[in-house]
Amino acid sequence: MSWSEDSTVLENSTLQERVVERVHSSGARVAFCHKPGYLRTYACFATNFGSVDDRFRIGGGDEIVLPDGIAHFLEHKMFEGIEEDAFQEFSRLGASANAFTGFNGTSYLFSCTDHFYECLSHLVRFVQSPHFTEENVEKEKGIIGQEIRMYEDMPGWRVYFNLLEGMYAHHPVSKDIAGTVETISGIDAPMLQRCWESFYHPSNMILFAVGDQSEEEFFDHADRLLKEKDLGPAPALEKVATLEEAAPAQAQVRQEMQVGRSKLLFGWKDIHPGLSGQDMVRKELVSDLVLECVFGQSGALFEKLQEANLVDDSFGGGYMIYGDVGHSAIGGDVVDPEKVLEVILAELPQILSSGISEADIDRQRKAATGQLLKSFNSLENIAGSYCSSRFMGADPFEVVDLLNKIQPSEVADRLHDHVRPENLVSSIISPAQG
Amino acid sequence: MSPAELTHVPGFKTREVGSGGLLHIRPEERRKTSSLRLTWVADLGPHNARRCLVPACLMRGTREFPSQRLLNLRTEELWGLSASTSVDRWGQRHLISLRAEFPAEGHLPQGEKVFEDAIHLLDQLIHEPHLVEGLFPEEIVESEILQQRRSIEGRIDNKSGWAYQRCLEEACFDEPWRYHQQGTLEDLKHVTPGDLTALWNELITHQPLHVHFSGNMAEDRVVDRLSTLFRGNHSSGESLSPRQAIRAAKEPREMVEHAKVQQSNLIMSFRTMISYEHPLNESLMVANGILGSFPHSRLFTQVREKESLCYSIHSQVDSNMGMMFISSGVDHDTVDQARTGIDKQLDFVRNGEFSAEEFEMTLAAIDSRLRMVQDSPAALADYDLRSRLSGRKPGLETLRKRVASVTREEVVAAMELVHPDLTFVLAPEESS
Repeated sequence: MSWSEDSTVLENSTLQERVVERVHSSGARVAFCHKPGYLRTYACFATNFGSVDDRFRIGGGDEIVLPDGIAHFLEHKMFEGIEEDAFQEFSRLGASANAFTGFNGTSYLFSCTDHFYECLSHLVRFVQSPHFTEENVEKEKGIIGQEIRMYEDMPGWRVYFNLLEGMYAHHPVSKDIAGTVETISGIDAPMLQRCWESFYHPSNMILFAVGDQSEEEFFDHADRLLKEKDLGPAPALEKVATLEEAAPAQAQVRQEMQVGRSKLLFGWKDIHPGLSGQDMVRKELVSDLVLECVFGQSGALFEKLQEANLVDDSFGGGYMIYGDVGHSAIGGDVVDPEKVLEVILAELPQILSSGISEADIDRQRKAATGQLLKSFNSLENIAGSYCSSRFMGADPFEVVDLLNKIQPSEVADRLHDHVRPENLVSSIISPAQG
Repeated sequence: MSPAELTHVPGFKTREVGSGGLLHIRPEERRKTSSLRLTWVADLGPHNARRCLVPACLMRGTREFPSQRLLNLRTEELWGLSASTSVDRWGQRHLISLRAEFPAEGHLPQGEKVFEDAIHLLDQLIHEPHLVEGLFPEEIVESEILQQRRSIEGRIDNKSGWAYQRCLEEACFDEPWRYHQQGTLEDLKHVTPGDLTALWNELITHQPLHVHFSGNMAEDRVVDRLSTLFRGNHSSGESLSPRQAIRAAKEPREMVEHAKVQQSNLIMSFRTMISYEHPLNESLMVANGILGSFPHSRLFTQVREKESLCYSIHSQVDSNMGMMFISSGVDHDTVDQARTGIDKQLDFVRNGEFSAEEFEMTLAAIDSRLRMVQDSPAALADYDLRSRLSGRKPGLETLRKRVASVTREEVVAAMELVHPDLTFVLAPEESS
């Protein structure tokens, strides 16, 4: 066995979930969650390399600057094999495979009802066997170019990235995950190989499975698989952070598209270098609770907007943390975005002065607990929540206990700290004229 | 190939409640929540838009909680009970659904329970909505008409969905499934609170109602409590029009429309003459799998990966309509090239040129997809309901066996019945 330390058990009595994790001698974190009775098993092999990781150094060397969209490009190219693409073998095994790139990570995944260990072997092997050639890299630019065009035609996607562009002057979180046709045009095979060597070392990765399998057998297989390929010592990887000012880059970003009705998103950004682990989870939880109390559909503000026929059920929002930055995004489909913003800005001083009641906090706490129970029915959510929590140094289950520990004073502080009318950023997509 | 042995996952047990209502219950011990779905079935038609207003008005309040805000406060109090409505279509039917999910007993602190309160609230939503002098309040009706109008106008925001619907409307211009589930702006004119209140009454009393429940509870208790949801419903088979016959393709047609878009959406429609009862229905499912519904399918591996012509491309079959559709987002300059590539793959499958491996992979992938349905109560309920509405016996096991016994020759025979109908392109304005 090649586990560098004893197993750790993460569990929670409310969720009635238990995850066992170990650190493999290759550096990979390996974890398993047993779900009795489920026919499907879901597994992912995820790296802590996402679209925001655009600058890094290895061993104190020169800074390497990456083109926007390279993490996503790499994700596409990892499926390329010498003989065939990685999907083929999953198909032979009756499994369904996919991958996605986010701001902070890239995840390769499959779900299956049979041949689990063959699928797991294939997952680890293909992610550890890149095959980049100039020809296959050039070919991919056509496919990704069409993917980018597809996103350009999606108003919901555009309104969100335009909001981020308004919030952030420099931070890469505002860049489209797939990049642009221009930024991906310079990507070549050596560049992809370098990224893979730097970010796909097991020490930067998590192998996770959830389903009705034997825990012991899973760890045995994972051990053998991770020993198959010696990828050497972990590179001394140092991600270079981009400094971002507290003030928003632009108060408003507007775009015209062929849409039936306008789309509005607004929100605020936070800059918090060094925040991690439990503090990060707590910040996200408290922020979500504040946003739900102020802008949620059980609040007085929503009722006022709805009675004036300014918003509908699409209105809502949430808070998202991506490493050293975080932001809220609230909005929906509206007819008159300016009027919605006008009402909100007129109401905010009153909301800020009266604050959030303890009854509201308690009710939101209950609602959030129910939502968490629901989300832990889903194998995908369990895997996603485990990987993102671990990448930020947190325990995926502590969220339930933290929810119960939130203090009214903390909610009040967060309300005033985050919801600052003078720093509001908005993004509007309106119907194209003519 | 024979389907793998199935771990036993209980299916729905069905009983008739009242006159014509069907209650489907299955035990579910694996999950932390109970889930419930109520669906009223009606015919698609020119009045879909006003029927959509009914569930929207129901969600605006009950007699006990007479505003949406009070209702939302109540659902939050019930540990975030999620209650939502949706309007879908399936073949020629209009499906009006109310879905709810709430924490299962044993998962809440201090042994709290929400089942009774949840069912009471859902019953009130359906039978005791917020009315003023016996009618839905005028301001709520006006507000929901406005929102519905905006939803209809907003359909163009989803470009591929828009292109698909336009293709369907043109290809099936006199068939009932041409109607979009959200209906038309025209239908929203002159709707009064009286019309809508009458429509609500008609829906809950005359249209067939299906209730699907999955949860970890004693069956007797569930039957006892859920029976209340059927009160007043006396639907019969006559509440729905007879099944529409599917028809053969005529001359292939082409159509181009323009919009402010970056890429073209290409939708190719085909007539199959294969209904759910047709002996080649499962063979067509397999043919569609080889052609375009998996990452190993021809359209993905050849048109996308080899020719780099697109990012999204897939095929789908709808045996209610007896149709197949191929959809793709492509650069406008390469639409013709994409069509040629797609035609080539259609011929490839039609000529039986696919490998033994492609065939086996497709059988395995379909089987796996069918098994995966069993992990999701929502997907199981959906499968059960749609099977019943299409005149199929609901039973995943039977379907799995039928798929597993499909032969290569049957795939070819099914593809020989696939004939082109309308090819529709939603193209950038600059290309006009």
